[in-house]
Amino acid sequence: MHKRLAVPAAAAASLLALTACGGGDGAPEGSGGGEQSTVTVWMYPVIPDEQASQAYWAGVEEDFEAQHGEIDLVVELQPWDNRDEKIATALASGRGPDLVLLTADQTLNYHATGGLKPLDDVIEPSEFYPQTIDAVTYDGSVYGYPIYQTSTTTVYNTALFEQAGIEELPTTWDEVLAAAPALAEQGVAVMDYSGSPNMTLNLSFYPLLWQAGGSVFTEDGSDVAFDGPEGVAALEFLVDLQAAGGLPPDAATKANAIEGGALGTGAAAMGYAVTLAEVQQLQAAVGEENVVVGEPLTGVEQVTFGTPGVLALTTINEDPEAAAKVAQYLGSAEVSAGLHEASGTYPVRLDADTSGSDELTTAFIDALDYARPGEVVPSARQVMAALSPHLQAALQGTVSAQEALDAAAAEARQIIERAS
Amino acid sequence: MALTKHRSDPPTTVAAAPGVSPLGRRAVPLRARLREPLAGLLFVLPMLVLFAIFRFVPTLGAAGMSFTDYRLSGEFSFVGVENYGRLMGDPLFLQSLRTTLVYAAIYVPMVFVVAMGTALLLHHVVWARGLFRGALFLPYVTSFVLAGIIWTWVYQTDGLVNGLLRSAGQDAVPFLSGDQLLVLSSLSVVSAWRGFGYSMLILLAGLKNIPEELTEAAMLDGAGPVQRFIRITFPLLRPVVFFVAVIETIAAFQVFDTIYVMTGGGPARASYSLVFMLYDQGFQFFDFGYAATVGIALFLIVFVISIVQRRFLDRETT
Amino acid sequence: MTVEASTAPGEAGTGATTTHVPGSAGVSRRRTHRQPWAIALLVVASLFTVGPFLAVFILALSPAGAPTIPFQWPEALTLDNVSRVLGARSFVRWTLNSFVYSVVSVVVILLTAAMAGYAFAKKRFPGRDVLLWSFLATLMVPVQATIIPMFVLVAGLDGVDTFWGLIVPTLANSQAVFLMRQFIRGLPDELFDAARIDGAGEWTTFWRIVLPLTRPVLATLGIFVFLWHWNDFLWPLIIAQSDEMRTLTVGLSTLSAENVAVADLMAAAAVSVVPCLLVFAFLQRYLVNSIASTGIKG
Repeated sequence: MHKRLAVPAAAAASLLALTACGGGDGAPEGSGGGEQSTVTVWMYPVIPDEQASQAYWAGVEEDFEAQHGEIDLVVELQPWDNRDEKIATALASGRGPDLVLLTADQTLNYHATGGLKPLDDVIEPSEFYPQTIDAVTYDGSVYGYPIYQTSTTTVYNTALFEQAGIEELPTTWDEVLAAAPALAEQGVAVMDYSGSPNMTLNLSFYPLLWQAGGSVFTEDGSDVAFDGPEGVAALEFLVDLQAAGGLPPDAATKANAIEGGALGTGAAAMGYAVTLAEVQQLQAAVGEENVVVGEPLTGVEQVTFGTPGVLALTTINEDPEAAAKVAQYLGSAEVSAGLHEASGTYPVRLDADTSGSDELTTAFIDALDYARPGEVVPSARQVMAALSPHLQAALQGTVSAQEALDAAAAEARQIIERAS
Repeated sequence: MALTKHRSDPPTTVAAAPGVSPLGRRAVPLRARLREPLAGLLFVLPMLVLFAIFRFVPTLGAAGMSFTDYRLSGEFSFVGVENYGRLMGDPLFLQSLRTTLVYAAIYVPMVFVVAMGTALLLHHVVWARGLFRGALFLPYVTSFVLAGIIWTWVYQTDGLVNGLLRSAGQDAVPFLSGDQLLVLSSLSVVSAWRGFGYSMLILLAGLKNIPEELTEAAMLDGAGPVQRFIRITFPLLRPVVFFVAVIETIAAFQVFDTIYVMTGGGPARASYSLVFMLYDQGFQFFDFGYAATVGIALFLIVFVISIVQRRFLDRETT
Repeated sequence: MTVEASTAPGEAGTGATTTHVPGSAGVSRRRTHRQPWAIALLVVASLFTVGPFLAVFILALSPAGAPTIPFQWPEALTLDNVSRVLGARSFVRWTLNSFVYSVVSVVVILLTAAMAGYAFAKKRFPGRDVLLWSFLATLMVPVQATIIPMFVLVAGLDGVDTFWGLIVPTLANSQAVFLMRQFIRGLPDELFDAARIDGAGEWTTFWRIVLPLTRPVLATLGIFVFLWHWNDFLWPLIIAQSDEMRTLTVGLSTLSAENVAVADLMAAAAVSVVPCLLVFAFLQRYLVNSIASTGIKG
C-alpha cells in the first residue's frame, strides 16, 4: 500500500523540487565548465538596424572569447521599450545583467537605489573626455565605463521649406513660430514633436525647457524647477505652435519614429532633437539632397540633449574581474571605433581619431558643445514619468501650460519626498 | 455533450454513496481505515502545495504589504494604515477609479448589447448557424495583445477607419488620442470585440432554455417580436443576463492588456485604469507597498460585485 | 460558490436544447420570412469579427512599404515579411517560450487538477471541505490584486526570468480543480468499488479508471488552459526580464511599441495567431459546447 500511495506523493515532491531548484540556470546558453565565468551585458538598439545590431554584437562576443577563453560573454539585445522597468526589476530580483548600458541620468538613478558598484579600479579617467567622466561620477567614484557618446541636433527637410516659400531655415523659436503658418497652409507641420508616454523627455520636452533657460530640477536636486516661468514658456511655445498648425496633429501621443512618422513621410519639416542614426533614416526616406543638418535650436539659450553611453556594473555581478575585462574590451579604442561606425555615435576617448569624420558626423560632434546629458538627479526617471501625461494634457488643450506644470510639480514633489 | 449527461447525474450517486461505505467500516483494521483519508490527502497534495505557495501566501502577502512601505530593494517598515490614507487622498487613485468606472459604464452595456443581439440572431437563424456561431466566436481565442495590435492599426491616423474617412473626404478621428470618452469608447470596442463571444454563448444557452411554447403562445396572442422579447424572453433570461453582467463588470474592472498595448494609460492619463495604476506604481515607481494597497482596493471592488451577484442569484432561485 | 452559481444557467441551457429541438424547428419554418434580415445582420457581424484577421493576413503578406490604406490591394503577395519575422532569432525564441509555457502548464494542471478533483469528489479525508472552499475562495481574488506579492515571492525564490518562475505560479488553478471535481463526482461509485475489490491500488485506480473516464473534460480543460497561457500577458510581462524569456504576447507588445514596420508587425501577429486558429478550427464545436455546459471562463 505504501508503494501505491507513493506515486502521488512523488508527484507532489517533484513539484516541490521544481519549485525549489528549478531556477538553477538563468542564462540559457551560459552554463560552461567549472572555471568559466559568464558575463551578461544588456545592450540596446544603439545600432538601430536589428540585423546589423545582431551581427555586430555576435562578432564582438566571438572576438572577445577568442582572447579570453575563460570568460563566456553574453550580449543580450534588449529593446528600448520598458527599459527602466526591466533594469530595476532585474536589480531587485538579483537576476539579470552583470553590465548594463545606461545613460548618465540612469546611472545616478540606479546608483541612488544601491544597484551599482563603482568602477574606480577598472577605469583610467584620464583616457576620456572629462565631461563624460564627470557625468557619471558621484561621491567621488566613477560608476560608468563610457563606450560611446551621442548627441542630437536640428534637421531640416529643405524641400518642404522651399515649397512653402521660406528661404531662411529657422534656427530660433521665433523663426520657427514665424514659419509655421506658411507650412501649415501646405498641410505640413513646421516642427516634429513626440509626446508618447513611452518616450524619454530627454528627446522631447527637456531640450526645449533647457532652451528656455530652465531646468527640471533645482541645482541641488532637492526640488523640481520645471514649473517656473521657463518651463511655462517652453510648454507655451509648443501650445502656440500647435495652434498655428506647426505640430503634427497627433503630437501629444505619437512616438518618434522617423520611418513612417511625421518627418519620414514629409508631414513635418524639421526636428530639433534628432540623432545621427535618425538623420540617416530621414535621408533614406525623403532623399539625401533634401536633408540639411543645422546647429541646435535656440530659445533663450542654445542647448540640446546628448549623453554618453556607459556600461555600469550591477550588484548582480559576482565576478567583477571578468566584468572589468569585458568593460575594458568594449570600451577599448579599437572596439568602440567599430561601434561608432555601425551606430552613428562618436568616441568618448581622447585618443580617438575624429579627423576622418564626414561632414554629417562632424556636425554632430560640434553639437556636443551644446549638449546636456539629461538631468542627473535621483528619481529623475520617475519625475519624467509623472510629468509626461501632464504635458499631453496641455497639448490637448484641456489645461493651460501653467496648470499642467503645477499639477505635475505637485506629483513630482511627492515622488522626491518619498524617495528621500 | 457527454459532459452534460454526467453532470446531471450527481443526485443519484450522492444518494447511493452513504449506503455503501459505512457498512464494512467498523470491522476493518486501522491501516485499511487510514487508506482512504491518506490517499485523499496525497492526491490533493500537489495542488495544495501550489495553492499554498502561490495563492494563499500572495493573498495574505498583499494584505500584509499594504501596511508597509515595501520598496524594490526589499527593505520595508510597517507604516500602519498610511497607504490607505494616501490612497483615499491620492488624486491619481481617484482619477483611475473614475476612469475605470467610466470604462465599465461604456464597456458593459456595449458588450451586453452585442452579445445579446448576436445570441438572439443565432437563436432564430437556422441556416449555417454553426458557421456564424464560429465566426462570431473567433476573436475569443486570441489574446488581448493581438486584439490591441490589430485595432491600433484600425484606429491610427493612416489606418483602416481613418483611411476610409479620408477617402470620403472626412477629417481623421483621434480614436486613441482624443478626449477621455472617445479613447475609453475606442478601447471598449476592442475589449468587446475580443470578449463578447463568451457572453454570447452563455446567453444563447439561456435562450434555448426558454420553452418555445411560451413565445409561441404570445405570438398567437398577437405580440410582436419586441413585445415578446420584453414580456417573455427577457424576464425568463434574467439570471443569465445578470450572470453575464457581473462577469463583464468584473472584466471591466480588470482591464489592462489592451490599455498597455494601445495607449500606455494615456493620453494624459485618460485611460489610466485601476490595474494600470497598480502596474505603474509597482513596476514604474517601484512603490510595492502602495501598489499592493491598490490591489486590495481592486479586490474589495470585485468582491462586492461578486457578493451582489450571489445575493441576487440566491433570491432568483428561491 | 460563485462558480456553482455561475454554472447553473449554462448547464440548464444545454439540457434543454435536446428536448426542444422539434419545437424550435417547427417555429423556424414559420419564421423563414424573417430570416433574410437576420442572416444579413449575422453576415455583417461576422465581417466585424473575421475581417480584422483577414486584414492582418493581407498586411502580413503585402510587400514591405506597400500602401496599407484599406482597399488598396497589394499588387503582389509575398512571404518575405513572414520569413523575415521567422528568421529573427528572438521571434522563434518567443514562440518556443509560449509553447513551453502553455504545454507544460496544460500537462501539469490536467494531472494535478484531476488528482485533486478525484480526491475532493470521491475521498473522505479530514479538512476536505475546508480545503475545497479555500481553493474556491481564491476565485474571488483577482490575479492582479496579488501580482505584486507574487512577484516579490518569486523574486525571493530566485525565480525571476526563469521558466519555473514563469510557469509554476500559474499552475494553482481553482477553476480546473472545481471542474474536475464536478465531473468526477458524477461518475458512479460502483466503478471505484469494483476496482478496489479487484485489488487495484489507489494510483492504479486513478490512472486506469479516473483518467480514461474523464477524457472529455480533460480535453476541454486542456484547450482552455492552453489558450489561457498562450494568451496570458501580465504575468509573463513582469517575470520575463531578458529577451530570451519573453513569450509571444510580451514580444508582440514590445514590437508594437518599437514602431516596427506595419508589414513586419502584422507578419508577427499572423504567425502568433496560427496556433489559436488551429485550436479554433479543429476544436471549435467542443469549445463552444463546453462554455455553455460548464460556464468555464477564459
